[in-house]
Amino acid sequence: MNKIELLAPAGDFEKLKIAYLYGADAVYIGGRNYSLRANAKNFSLNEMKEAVEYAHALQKKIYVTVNIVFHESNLNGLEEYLKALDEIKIDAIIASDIIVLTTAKRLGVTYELHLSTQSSVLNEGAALFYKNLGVTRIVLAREANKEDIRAIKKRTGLELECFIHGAMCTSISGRCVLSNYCTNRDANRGGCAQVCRWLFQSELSIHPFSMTSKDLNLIPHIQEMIEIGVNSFKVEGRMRGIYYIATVILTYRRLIDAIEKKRLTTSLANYSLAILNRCANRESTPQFFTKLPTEKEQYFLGRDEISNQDFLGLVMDYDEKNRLVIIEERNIFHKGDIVEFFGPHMEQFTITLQDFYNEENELIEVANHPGMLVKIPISIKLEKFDMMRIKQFDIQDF
Amino acid sequence: MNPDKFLVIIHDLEQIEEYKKARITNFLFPLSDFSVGFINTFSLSQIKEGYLYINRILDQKAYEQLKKTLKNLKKEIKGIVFEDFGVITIAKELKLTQTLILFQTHFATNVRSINENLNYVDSIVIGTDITKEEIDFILSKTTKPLVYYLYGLIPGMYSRRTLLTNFAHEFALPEKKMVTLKEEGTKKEFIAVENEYGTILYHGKYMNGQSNFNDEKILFYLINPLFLEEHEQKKLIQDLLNENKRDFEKEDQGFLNTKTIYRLKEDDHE
Repeated sequence: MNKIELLAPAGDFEKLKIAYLYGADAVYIGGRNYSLRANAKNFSLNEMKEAVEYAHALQKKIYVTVNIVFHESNLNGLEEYLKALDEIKIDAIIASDIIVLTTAKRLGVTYELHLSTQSSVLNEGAALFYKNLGVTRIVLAREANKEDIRAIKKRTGLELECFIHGAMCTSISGRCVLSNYCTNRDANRGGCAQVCRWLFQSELSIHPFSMTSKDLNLIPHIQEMIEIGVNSFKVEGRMRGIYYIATVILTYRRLIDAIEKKRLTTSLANYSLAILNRCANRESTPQFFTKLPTEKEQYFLGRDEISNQDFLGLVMDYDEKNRLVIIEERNIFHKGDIVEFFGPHMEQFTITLQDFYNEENELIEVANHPGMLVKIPISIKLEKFDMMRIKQFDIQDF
Repeated sequence: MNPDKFLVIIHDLEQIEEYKKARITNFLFPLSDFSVGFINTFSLSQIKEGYLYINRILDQKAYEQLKKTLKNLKKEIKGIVFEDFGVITIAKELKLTQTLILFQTHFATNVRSINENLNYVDSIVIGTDITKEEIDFILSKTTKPLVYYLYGLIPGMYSRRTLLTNFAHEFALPEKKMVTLKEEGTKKEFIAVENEYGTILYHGKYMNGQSNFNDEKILFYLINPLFLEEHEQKKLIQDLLNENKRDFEKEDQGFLNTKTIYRLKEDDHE
């Protein structure tokens, strides 16, 4: 079995650290130019250099998206940027515009060229076209089904990267400018206003017309995807928070490890699914992998989205002498709440909150200020960036 | 304008004779099973001469079917206008001699990318979402003549999902293949057209791109009269040929005079 890569998004340095810590083999980031998340914080070149050094010290990889559709005015500085990315030793760029691929090739850069999902590759012929341009990996369109993946792998030998989790465009990626028409914001240069999640009137019905997609979640098919040759499993969400990244990456990490060690159980698969369903704000489904999505894979009656406040706190430190964990509060919690601690290097465990203290060591019964520091007596040593969430279920429940 | 430079998308075979009366000779036929966004599509046996329009993103099954379909293409088929790069691989494998025209609606937005892609195709349809100034620059630097989308409905979105059917199923409504949608906030209208291969949402206004571009650098002026009444089509053709200024309430100029933005806070970025 090939080594399987778990690839995480990171909108900033904190998220990047969390992604690696929680089990990502590689992370993809955007620079402050040329990235399709134009309104994310993103990375300056100096920050990217620091991120690359951080990643490589951990023996992990880092990819940079250069995936806008270029207009004339965006081309200024592209060559210098591609050279600079080489100098800071990134591992690959993710691009779709041919000018990026051919310029990088001409410059003789040492990083790999990965084709962005914006190019919507779904067949061997398109994959071969890009292979001839020097692309070594293709991020397939989210519309790829298992037969597409199997055939492309078999007939091209290219590395294949597939999205396994996160938000879905209603359109085929890149084939949408609704945002341009409705808001004058250019979707293909990172300005997408997500008009596909808005409501429309029509002559069809008194119900507003909606085309909002539920999210993608390929937990039930990971093993099959490994078997048909997917090399890299990609999680969407450079705009998502650290709890989402930590939870999703850790869940897939443990699942992939279990598959590689031939220890995957139905119980673990179902538990993983339940965990992931809790941490997103929308329901998720396998979308296109086994069939064409129907009405079951969409929302219709407005923004039927889930508000999730499971993430209660981030571990900032552990006071070994007094056996106190110091938590930065993220959502309100009370005395008596049943909570769960989890992290990348520990077996998760559950406690019922009894006595806990504020920064001034005063006993409190509720933590209700985001960012406040709270001290909780716990005998198990915790590490920075472990997390506390509200307890929902146990693996034994599945 | 020279009618030989018009490339008109055909929606009804009976229209062809009318166009020929106006000395138009180049026609583009949405090919059945390989096109989306059209009510009427045409099989190879129905197409006597002209260009094939293949605008589907091809999954592997469709790719294999298309390869079979394009074997032994008759010489009256002058060219293929297509979206998916897989078509280039098929054309190479089958040694097709037809003109290849790449039409990725939103992607041909700068001349350096266009010129790179022109190493593999004969022409490219210029992106529909850029300004007149940008088009002028592209035409000044292109290495081969390009196709300019002169008039018609512009696809605003292409989804692989059958969005109209899904909506009908959800609310137990009769199924429709063409529906006008109005976005509730902005009141922008879109025309959704669905077939089994997906849904196209056209912007509700016909883009009228009449302008004074460098004609020598234009291979074809593309015209898509989808959903225009017969008399409207006749008037359109006369107006375009004679370069008449049009006064038609269902038209706009797309993004020819409107630059899009993509950052909300420019100052936050380097």
